[in-house]
Amino acid sequence: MTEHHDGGCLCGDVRYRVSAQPVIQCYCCCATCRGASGAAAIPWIAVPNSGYAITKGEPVTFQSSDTVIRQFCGRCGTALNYRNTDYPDQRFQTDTLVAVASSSLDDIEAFPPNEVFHGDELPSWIDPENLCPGAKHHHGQGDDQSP
Amino acid sequence: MCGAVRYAIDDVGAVANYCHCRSCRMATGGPVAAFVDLKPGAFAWTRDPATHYASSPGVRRGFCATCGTALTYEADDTPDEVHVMSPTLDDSTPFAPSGFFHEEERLAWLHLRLSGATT
Repeated sequence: MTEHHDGGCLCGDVRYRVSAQPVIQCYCCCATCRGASGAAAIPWIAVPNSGYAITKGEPVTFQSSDTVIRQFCGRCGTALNYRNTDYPDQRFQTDTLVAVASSSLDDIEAFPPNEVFHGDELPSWIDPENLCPGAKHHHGQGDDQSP
Repeated sequence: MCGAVRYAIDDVGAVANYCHCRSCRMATGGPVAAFVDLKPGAFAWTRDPATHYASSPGVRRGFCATCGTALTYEADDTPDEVHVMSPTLDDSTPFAPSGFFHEEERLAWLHLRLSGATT
């Protein structure tokens, strides 16, 4: 696509450009995403690696589990991206997709989530159906056929 | 998340809320932030302290420099309050948010309502 979307962290030290159409627009509510962010759920867009580039600064990399790399801004802490070399949902394989925390897009309204991963791990005070009505829910890793 | 930073709270009388503002969204990575409002004396770092970033004049946001987890919000104009991102609590169950701050900045696609609300 010729259209692109820019984004970055809260302080502006790190900037990036998304130049590919998202393959996935989702929330992830897993305990690790919650821990990495401090939020109950993270809205992600997953795009081909070739359609994502850091255009300013150098994010900090943290390995949050054996096969997962997350990057964030070292100055202000904003969560930026997620890569997984072994996610059972094949769409997330690192050689094809990178997940971008869409809350950091300049146009945050551009890609509303339409899938929910790990809604069963939300805090007790959030109902997954309430968070994202009508979404396709994935309750286990790789369970991409769940209604 | 990595465990480098830990804290303890005294939750007696604590109130929980959501905040829709852009700074809270970006600092956490979430579509909305959820936090517990505490008095400063009811909050203490118990391992390494957080790294702080001034997201606006007079505002300090605490996060873990190792893994990026957003942890706290403090502001000079509310010196008697510490806001702790409630999803970082080991058990956030008792802290169902009771209201929304900055509703005017709510994302158009965020349908979240308060727990127990019917509309």
